[in-house]
Amino acid sequence: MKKIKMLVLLITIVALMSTAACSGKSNTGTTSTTSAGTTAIASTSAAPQEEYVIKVLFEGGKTVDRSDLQEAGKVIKEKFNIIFEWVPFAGNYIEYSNTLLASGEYPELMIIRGNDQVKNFIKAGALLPLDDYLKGSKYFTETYKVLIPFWRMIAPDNKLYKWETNVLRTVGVPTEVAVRSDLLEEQGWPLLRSTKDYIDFLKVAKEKHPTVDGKPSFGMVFPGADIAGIWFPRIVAFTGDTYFQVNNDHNIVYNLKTQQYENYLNQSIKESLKFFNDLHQAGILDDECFTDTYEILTQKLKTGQAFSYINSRYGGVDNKALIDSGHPEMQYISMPIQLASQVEKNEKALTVTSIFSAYESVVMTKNAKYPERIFQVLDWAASDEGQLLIQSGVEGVDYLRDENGIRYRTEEMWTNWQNPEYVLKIGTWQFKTLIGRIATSPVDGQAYGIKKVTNTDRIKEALNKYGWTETSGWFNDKNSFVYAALFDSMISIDPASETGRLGIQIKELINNEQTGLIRASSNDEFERLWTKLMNDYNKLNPKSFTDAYNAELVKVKSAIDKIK
Amino acid sequence: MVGKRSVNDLFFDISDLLLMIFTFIIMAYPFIYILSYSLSDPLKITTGLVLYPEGFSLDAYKAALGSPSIFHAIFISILRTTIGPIFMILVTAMAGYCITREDMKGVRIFRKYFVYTMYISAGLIPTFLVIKALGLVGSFWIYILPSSVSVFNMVLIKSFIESIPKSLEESAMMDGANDFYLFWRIIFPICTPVIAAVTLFGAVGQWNAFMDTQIYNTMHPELFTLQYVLYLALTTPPMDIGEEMRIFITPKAFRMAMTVLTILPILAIYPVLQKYFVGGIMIGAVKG
Amino acid sequence: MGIEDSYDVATNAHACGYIVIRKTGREIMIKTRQNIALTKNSSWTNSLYKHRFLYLMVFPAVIATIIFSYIPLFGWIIAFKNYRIGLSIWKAPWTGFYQFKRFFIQGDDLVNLLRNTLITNISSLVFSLVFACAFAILLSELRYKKLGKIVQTVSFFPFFISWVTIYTILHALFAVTSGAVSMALVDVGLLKKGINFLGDERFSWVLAVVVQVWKSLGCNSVIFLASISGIPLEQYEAAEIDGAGRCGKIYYVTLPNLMPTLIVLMIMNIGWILSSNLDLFYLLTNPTNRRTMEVLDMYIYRYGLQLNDFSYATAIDIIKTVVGLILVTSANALSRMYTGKSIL
Repeated sequence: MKKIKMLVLLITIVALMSTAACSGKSNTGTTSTTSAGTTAIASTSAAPQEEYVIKVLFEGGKTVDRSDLQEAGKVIKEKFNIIFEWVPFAGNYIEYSNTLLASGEYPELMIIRGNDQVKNFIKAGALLPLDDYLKGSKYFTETYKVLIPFWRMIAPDNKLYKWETNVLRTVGVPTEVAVRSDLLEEQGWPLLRSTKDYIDFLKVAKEKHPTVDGKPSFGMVFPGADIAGIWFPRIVAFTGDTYFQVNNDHNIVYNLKTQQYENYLNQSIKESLKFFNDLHQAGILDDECFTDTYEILTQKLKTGQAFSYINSRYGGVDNKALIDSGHPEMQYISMPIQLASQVEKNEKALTVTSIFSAYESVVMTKNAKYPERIFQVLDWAASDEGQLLIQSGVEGVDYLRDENGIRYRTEEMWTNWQNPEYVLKIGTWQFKTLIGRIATSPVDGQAYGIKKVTNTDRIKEALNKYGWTETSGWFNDKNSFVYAALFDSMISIDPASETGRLGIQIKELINNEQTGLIRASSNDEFERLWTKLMNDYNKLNPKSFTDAYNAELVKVKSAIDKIK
Repeated sequence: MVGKRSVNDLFFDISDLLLMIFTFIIMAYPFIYILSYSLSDPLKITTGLVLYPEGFSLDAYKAALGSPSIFHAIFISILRTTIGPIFMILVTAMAGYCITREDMKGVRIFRKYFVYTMYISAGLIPTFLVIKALGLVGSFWIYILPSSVSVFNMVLIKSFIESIPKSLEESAMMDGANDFYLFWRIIFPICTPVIAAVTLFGAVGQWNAFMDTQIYNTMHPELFTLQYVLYLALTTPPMDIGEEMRIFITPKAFRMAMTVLTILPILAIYPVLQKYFVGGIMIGAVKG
Repeated sequence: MGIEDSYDVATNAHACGYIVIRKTGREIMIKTRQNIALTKNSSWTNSLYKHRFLYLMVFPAVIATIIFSYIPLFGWIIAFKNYRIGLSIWKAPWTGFYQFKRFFIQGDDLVNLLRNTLITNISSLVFSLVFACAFAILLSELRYKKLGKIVQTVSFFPFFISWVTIYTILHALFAVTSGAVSMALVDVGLLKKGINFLGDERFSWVLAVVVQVWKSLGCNSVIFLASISGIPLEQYEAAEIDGAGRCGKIYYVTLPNLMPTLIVLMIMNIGWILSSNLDLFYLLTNPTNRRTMEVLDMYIYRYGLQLNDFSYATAIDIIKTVVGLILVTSANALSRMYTGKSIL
């Protein structure tokens, strides 16, 4: 019996300890959520002096950060006595937000991925309309004047339930290829543009350098095992002036010339895939690319083992690491790429800007304790002062101005801006995602975010050879900026419907077959596989999918006309 | 005959030893990789085989242990790893014993009732609604109560008890011992090996669990466990810092250091439980 | 068995008594009741009372199971409805068996998925148990006990390493060009080009099985070690007297004693034959080995949860549950017939 007594004693002790340790804090959490619903209505009378801590679920982040420890957050704390607590989240965000919606446990402020989900929240009556607060707005209504009617469109009662961040920004930027500059130098600084140029260039480079520091070298790399990396072999199809890749599912394309959606598989896609097949046949394509995750890819770029990397805008190039490890000459610079046929026709590369960003919607829910105070922050964030602080940080700390008033990064910021600890401390990243970021709207002639980046000596040297001032210099000289009003984020096809399902099937089919195409050992085999893919694709009846998209487009356009 | 046998035995011993050494290598390698990586100078370490730290740097550990929240997470992890298995053993072992008692009315129903739950999954949302109704969302007890019944362990305990000769139980019953006493005083001590194994399962399960935190305590950082913090570090997508640059908030070395931290406790728990597994001495003694 | 049968008789008599009551009126009712109270019923309540401690002991588990496993089952209703998130479960329109039909008319997709799922799961189940059993025996037979303890502890390490990290290590070792194994083979001159373990359809099943067996070996062997500890020493002594060597003792004493554990684990695991470790397959699947790597759970994840299609996902959950229960019950019945071992 002694043993049992001991056991019981032990359990009670441990249980008491745990309740003492955890309940104190967890209680406050539960009370705040339960009281939130009731106080929501009476909130207007609440004293603004009271410190207001808002928990915000944030994809990414490793530990909890409090905004009052961050530069921009300090100002918000001072002005509004509001503190954001960034709670990290990892995993399936959509599934989790579904669970929250179904149970009513949603937080006060929530980032929502896509209009579909916002609609679900509106339907369930979980959101708070912002209309009541708009009257007192100083900046918000003005800054987002163009967008607010569109944001209202998704609500059946035409009320404003959401705002978007990262709006008015460039969505379609020309694809760039990062190329090791010492190899360019070796071959006399050639301008690489067409897919043919790349094959010739990389062939020579690979012959000269089968290894880098005793480790195998790779001609061209991309993260094929990455969720986003899988479509990179088709990316060159979108470097001309016709097609634009619209949705994240990669199963439909938008033709900018006809202003219509078109079937995904077309001649350009084929050419792009053929380019990768040519790389493979020439032994320049990284054999491991299909099993490389993004992280493994970054390792290859850090050591200079990779000669070139398609779509360097996806991130991963780390010139600082090359300098630190004693290979400053290897630093990557960006080169344009276009299909050989596009170069022949001398097509221009497009830069497409979109005004919407539905994937980054933010909503205020019925659980919000003091919605009015939240809106005050939102309103202030839409001002010049707010945007500058959110995007560029504090003057004197994060940036300085030169004699012409042009903002540039401080030395400290420049050396640290790739250091996660530092970036998290500044916190601009989180604020951008929560209370708005206007990407292209300028004040004093400059964008809110600092674009001017200091280049290293090596990069400057390389750019000089081409007569560029920036690493994507070619585009600035040759390309035309096309402002296309894209409606893709307004168009939503219910993923659970037959059409939505078809979209997934198309995506899966292409993803499955493309590897075989790239790895084809001969041109004949490539043609055979392509014909087979086209047959399978046509069997799925992709036309019906495209038609569904175009029908939605018509609807959205007519709705927009009504607004006008 | 004897000579042949001892030759066979020697051969057996040697191959046994070699196999164990081989197992040791393949089991230990990933740990060596992780440890070396976490201690390496991030600039020197690259791809491929890693056998020892290249350069030496404790930065990763400094970063991992840098924030005070990590210590709180470790505390919560230790708490659930202690309380969880105790609860689980109490509830599960008693039930495990009961379902061996053929003389108990309804024992077969009980068995089916328990075993079926192993294969039934109700889905995330209904479960969440029930947990919410119980007020367990955002509470420490979500870590303890749902896992207090482990049918898998229950069946293991049951089949272990069944392998014990019935005579022992019967003689105790003759003496007029009640079932409660019978279980805790006679059966439970004999079950030490399986209880040790099941405790280990329970402890490891509790230590490794992060799904419950992810689902029920996402918004309650004060209840984050070490494994959840590690999970966050491992799955956090690269951060978009603008100008088409993305960086890892959690560099690889940091994640490796975190992994090392989560493996260490097994070095503490296992040797304690190990003595209950080795050799068949205890049973013989009790029965004799 | 005997005791239980007599209880059944008692309950039957009890029930019959009531049937009689209704038909023949008050007098008989009282009479029958008295009879039951005097004879059968008393033994029924008696047995409840006699085992009151057992019921008390099983009670916490019963309650916990009801709350956490059975009550949430009301959610299965959404499989028969067109449920959209955010709307009330009760108000959603009925769809009958539509979701189930959809699953079965997927066509050749389904065949492929089932093939991959069954092959990888059955092999990892069998190999996991066999290797764990062998490992436990070899460990307990090891002459160097210290080494044994170290190996045993170390064997647990992989269990603690997340799949993401394991993939990084796999890549470091087995990548086709830069992997350590491939590079070594090429350097020695055995091969011209490395073996593409991670990106070749031929290796995908082996890869999935080996990695799973390796990761869970330490954990799986624990239960066998516990069973070995439970073997009475007398049996070994008796075998030694009969002239058995070390292998003989393993064959005649250890193995037969481990059989019940092995069987129980087999029966329990067979119910999960359609469930795969999603994390593992998610990481091991890449564009090159999709056809042979894609398993049922990944499909459910993609077409159900990721698309917000909860009705569909739940329908597949139900199918999986039913299949699991059928498999477990039949495996249990077979085992009871041939080995006398049963978990139900």
